[in-house]
Amino acid sequence: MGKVYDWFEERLEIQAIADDISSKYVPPHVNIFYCFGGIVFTCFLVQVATGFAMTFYYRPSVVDAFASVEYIMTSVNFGWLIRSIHRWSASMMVMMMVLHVFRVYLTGGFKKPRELTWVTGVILAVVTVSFGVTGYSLPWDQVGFWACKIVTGVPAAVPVVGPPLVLVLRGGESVGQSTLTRFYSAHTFVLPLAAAVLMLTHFLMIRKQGISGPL
Amino acid sequence: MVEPLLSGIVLGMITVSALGLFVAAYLQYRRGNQFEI
Repeated sequence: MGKVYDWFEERLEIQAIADDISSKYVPPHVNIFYCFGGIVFTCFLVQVATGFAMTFYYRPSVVDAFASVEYIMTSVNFGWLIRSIHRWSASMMVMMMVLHVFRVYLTGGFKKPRELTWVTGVILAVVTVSFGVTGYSLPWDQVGFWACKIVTGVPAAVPVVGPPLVLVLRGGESVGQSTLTRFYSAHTFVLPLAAAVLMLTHFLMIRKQGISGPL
Repeated sequence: MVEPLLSGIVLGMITVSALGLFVAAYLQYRRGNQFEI
């Protein structure tokens, strides 16, 4: 082997990692529907890349948000493409996640010993939908604003903890700048961090236990 | 706001995938255990 390979092998035992990756085989019962989970992850990576690009121009203030989105769509080089991909990929991510749940459920992939993978998947689903809800309001247009007002008002129906929860979500009694700030913080910091940790556990458990068996 | 293209993709994919999963399950059932274990 080459000198570079030997240098890394001596320090990190990369051959063991390569052997582990290449020793896995695909069982005969696995079909195209087993791709859905991977497609969700691919959509997530697209979201990270395009979302990161948009943070350069998006301004999370009630005065500037809509104008900054307009600027992305009309003036920024390929801004329209980046944002359109972000929006479409978001829809595709949620759809593929639903299809992935179908596959796991109908092939019994949630059964022992994979219960914890299912649990992390359910939490990931909640995180994904939260990504959608927070992202939908960021342009601060009419649909975004009213969606935000309705969604943050829903927990008010819960007894005792509901009203304080609404205050936490909105950052006050009414929907305004503090709400947009919180949504932006959740969308670009809290949720990505939560998603990354949950995905790591989800994937490590799949890696450890292997692909689920035939029916 | 109803987006026709998006609605078509979502409803179409869900229908085809759900049917496909049941067909795949039926084919597995019909094939049976060929390893005799």
